[in-house]
Amino acid sequence: MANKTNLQDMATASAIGIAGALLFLFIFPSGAISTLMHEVLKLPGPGVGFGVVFGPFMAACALAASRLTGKRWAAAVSSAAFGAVMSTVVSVFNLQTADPGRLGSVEFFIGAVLLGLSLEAALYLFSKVREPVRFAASAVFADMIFLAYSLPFIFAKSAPEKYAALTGSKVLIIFAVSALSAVVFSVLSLLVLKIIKR
Amino acid sequence: MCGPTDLAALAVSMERILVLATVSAGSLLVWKIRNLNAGRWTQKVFQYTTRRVFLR
Repeated sequence: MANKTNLQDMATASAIGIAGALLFLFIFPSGAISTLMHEVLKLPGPGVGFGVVFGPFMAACALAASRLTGKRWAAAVSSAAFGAVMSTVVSVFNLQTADPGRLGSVEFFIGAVLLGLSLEAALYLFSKVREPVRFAASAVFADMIFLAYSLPFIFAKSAPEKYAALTGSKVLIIFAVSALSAVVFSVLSLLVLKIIKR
Repeated sequence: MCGPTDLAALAVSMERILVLATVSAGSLLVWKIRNLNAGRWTQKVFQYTTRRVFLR
């Protein structure tokens, strides 16, 4: 991966993050993820929606940005743009979002930036590993960091009863399905890029 | 996210994912076909069809 970054590459990375945020808001209206997680898949909460859908989706966008531009920091810029646009759109249009996730809050934006930075660090750490494994490992690592941050800093405040009721086995299930989802999303991201031959 | 249960929102979400996936796959297919060399493509189809019909 080349070190030299330029404005055009960072603009491309930001554009991918912005498109991802808008796409996410369009395809997941308020209540859809929590219903899917808790009613359909019967997974324990809180935070499983963040770990299974939100984090991996953002990581997939960031991975796509990183691979398309081939530059360091592209994943971090893409994630920051994702978080910033989502926060802006939610507050400007006063969108109704699932309350526990606190989409659009400062904590949420910090989480998005943290995910991008950890993804960038993982991509650097696994730079010698071949691509599919590097993508999957980086996505899992970033998603775990994002989830570990979200549980105490977002869900402990927004869903204190559920947070207090968390047990070791519940946490293990949440982290395991999140890791699995991160692998699936990273493979999907790579597959899309392969299909369009990038 | 442990928010409120909303099956209607989930249905809307699934519908949007399905529509987006179909449109993307369709666009990609059209793009791929347009990028194929027309002469070679028709030649391949012709050869395959004649082989299947007459040389069985």
